[in-house]
Amino acid sequence: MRLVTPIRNDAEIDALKAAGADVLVAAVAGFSAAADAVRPAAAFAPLVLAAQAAGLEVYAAFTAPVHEDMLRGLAEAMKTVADAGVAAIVAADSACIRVAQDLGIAGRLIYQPGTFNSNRYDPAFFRSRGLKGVTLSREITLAQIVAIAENNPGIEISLVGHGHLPMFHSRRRFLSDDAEHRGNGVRPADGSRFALEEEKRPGRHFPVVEDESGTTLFRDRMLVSFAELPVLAACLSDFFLLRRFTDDAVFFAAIAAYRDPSRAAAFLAAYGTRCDSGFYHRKTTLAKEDRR
Amino acid sequence: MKPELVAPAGDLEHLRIALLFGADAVYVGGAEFSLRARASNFTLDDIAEGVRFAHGLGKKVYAAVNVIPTDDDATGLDMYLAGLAKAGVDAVIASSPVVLDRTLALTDLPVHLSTQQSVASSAAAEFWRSAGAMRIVLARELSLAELRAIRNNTSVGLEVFVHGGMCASYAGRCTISNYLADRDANRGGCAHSCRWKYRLLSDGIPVSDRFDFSLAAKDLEALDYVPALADAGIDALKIEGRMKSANYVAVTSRVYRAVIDDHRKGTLKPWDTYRDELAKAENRPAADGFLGGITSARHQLYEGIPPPRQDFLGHVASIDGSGRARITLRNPVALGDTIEMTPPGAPNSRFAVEGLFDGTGFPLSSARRTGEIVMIPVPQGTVQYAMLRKVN
Repeated sequence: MRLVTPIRNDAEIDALKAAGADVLVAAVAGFSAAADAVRPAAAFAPLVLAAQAAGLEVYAAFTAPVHEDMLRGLAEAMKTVADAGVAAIVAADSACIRVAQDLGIAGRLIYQPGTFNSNRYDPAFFRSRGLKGVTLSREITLAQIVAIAENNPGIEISLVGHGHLPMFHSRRRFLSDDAEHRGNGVRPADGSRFALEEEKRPGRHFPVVEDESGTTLFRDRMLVSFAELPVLAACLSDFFLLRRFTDDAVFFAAIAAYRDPSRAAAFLAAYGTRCDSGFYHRKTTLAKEDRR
Repeated sequence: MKPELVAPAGDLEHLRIALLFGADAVYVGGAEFSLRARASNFTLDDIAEGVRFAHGLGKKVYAAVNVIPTDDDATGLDMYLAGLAKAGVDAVIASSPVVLDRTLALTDLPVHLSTQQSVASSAAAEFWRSAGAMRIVLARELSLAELRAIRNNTSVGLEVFVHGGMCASYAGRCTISNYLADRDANRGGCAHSCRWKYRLLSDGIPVSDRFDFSLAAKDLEALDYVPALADAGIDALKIEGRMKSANYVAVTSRVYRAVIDDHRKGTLKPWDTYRDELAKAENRPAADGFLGGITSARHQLYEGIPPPRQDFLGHVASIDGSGRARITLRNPVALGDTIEMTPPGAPNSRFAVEGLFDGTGFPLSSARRTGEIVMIPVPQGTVQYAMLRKVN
């Protein structure tokens, strides 16, 4: 199982390698939504060369929903990063699959919509469309993840297993709208870090980010997968880490702890109160009739 | 081109009402594989009965099988799809590849791809067309200009929402309800956490003392976009609201039907004419969504959701030999009240409540209990399914 970590600038290559990363990933400018690390499509070629020199691979991520006016640029950007030699293109929108098929690069595509890939049939569906891999839904259990992976040997199965995962992405510009509504409100471009607090969950602050693609709301707690790592490592091809809202020191310590599980206890001792295990052991089955 | 009007139906009665009041098709769901589990009390027998009714009018029934299943949720799917085919539905609305593929493998039914997939481009539409989808219910995040461009770049059928609730998130991508309420939106359990109360913090400091930050979107109301959507070649216009009342289904179906037909005939009236009629449904505050472009503060609900209007009394379930309409009461009514009646396919009219009886014929001066059966004398010629609203 490869550890896939965001890279914010080329100077981090050695440090990420030393921490234990196998693959470096960055989002492609113009096609990112609340991404950890973003760079222009043209900037992938030098990154690939530098990463390969260090023995690492590079993935390019297209994380934004794709609208019609993005299609021409999308095809150009996907071709550019493919020509640059990225090992995979990570895509959140099914439009990317069609474009990749047209470009003849579907075999390098990992479909990572965030949700959707939630049963053992889905990977087979995308395998039959020529894809390299699928990233499973972020709201299914460990047992479900294992069952899906074990039943799909013909396609790479991956998971976003660490960090503050998105809860939703909207095309609406909630922070800008709020500023407009208040008249004197804060602006998303202020450089501030914003969060939302829900009325009945005092003290829990959910990070919120607005960018050119809209607004993304994140979990307040960092998903960690140290306890589940042996199981995941046996069935996954890629394990993605997110680093947004995490200090570099904490993030690098996390990579190191996934690479060397003997460090996990120290990580959890230091940061465990900010972490949880997401939905690995918590199936969300309550219905509408159940009380909030 | 005249787009198909697709209306919601939470039960058989709503199905009949939607079709009688002008919808060309309805979408329904069963309890197991639909995202509106509470709204979906259709058994396969109910669906078959609804199909017979619809086909008798030359209209259609689409079955929403739009859950995004885990392996557990998919148990029984094949049998259910075969049951839908036997019931005679006209298409299956699918969100998930497993539903799409199994429908195509097991039945001859067309598949419409649900808006849960948030298709926002012709490339995505073409991907799903190549997978077998005959129609794409597009994302609700699209402008009119984007819809026109998509139409120009794909031949697959396109369906667009024109009325009803809006998700804060791109549909299908949201896990806020899972995380905050242990309820799974993609499996029929959405807690509408985006409509809860939040406050904004900037660098850890509350921007306001109140929980007044809004994630909640106003509903969509796109009456005046209907002509442009029709002219653009959009194949179907959809009304959201399988959990809404019979009155909502009737009024919205009737008004959008009128706009589609009046546009085709070149007899469109001033928009207020349609809006005044539309206001008789239990609508929440509404705006034009993304149809005019990126949304702004005016598209958000900042003051909470106002309580629903309480003037809908019920619809005429039947009329007895003495001219009394049988009604399952939704809101209070009393002797002397004035009622506006909206029958299917005919103009509104008004009458005074000159008699009021319980279900056994016992005289009453007023009735207040929701769900109570009451009998009210109605004017001659009153028909079944006429909507009754109190207007005094």
